[in-house]
Amino acid sequence: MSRAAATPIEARDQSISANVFIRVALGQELGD
Amino acid sequence: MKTTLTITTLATILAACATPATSSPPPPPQEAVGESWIQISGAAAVTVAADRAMVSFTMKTRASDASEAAGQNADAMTAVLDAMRAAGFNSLEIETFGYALNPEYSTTNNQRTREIIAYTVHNNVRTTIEDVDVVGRLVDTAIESGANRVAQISFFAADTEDARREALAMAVQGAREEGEVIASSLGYELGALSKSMAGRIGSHLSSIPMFRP
Repeated sequence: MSRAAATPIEARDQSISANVFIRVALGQELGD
Repeated sequence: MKTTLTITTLATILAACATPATSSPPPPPQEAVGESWIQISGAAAVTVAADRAMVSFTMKTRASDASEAAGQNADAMTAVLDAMRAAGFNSLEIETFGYALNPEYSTTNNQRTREIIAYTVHNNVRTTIEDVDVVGRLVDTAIESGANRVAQISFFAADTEDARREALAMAVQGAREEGEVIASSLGYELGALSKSMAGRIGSHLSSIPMFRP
């Protein structure tokens, strides 16, 4: 059986993720 | 190349106020005695447009003897490969993998006299193509020429280094900004960075498993 349309398959984007951990000292007390 | 930029930042306090009490055990050696700190995690994601597609097909044949099953498979797989090459897809790369020949046993209850009733042969072909818009036509070509399973369709970007660096920088920035909010809520300014660590940096391939009965 002949067909007119190709199977529709849409490209999807690739997701690049990053995770970080930082440790930051508390500075001066506000209002000092 | 890069179409959209989706940043999601998430920060949580993992520990705060490390000031030790006089009767508690000594703090870890890397921590300054009496220093208070907050630890925050940050996460970010960058989306990159796919510029490659990978499609895997399988050819399965079955016959009463091994040689016949293998011969049928060789003929069928050759027809699939020839059809894909003849279709003229630009930058199409083809490789085969995972060839297997297996006996198929009868399913009687008597385990001591299992009989081989047939042999099955699987051969797989993995194709990679730069034009992501012709994947549907590539699948059709393989099926029409005899492939009887489409195992997987994946889209990915060939170069993700810039996106990785961007996600990393955004994750750090997000964590820093969250830290400022937390510090000011506690009544302090944010001080110096005392430790940083990159966690998992990953990519999520978009994958579409497909099966043909």
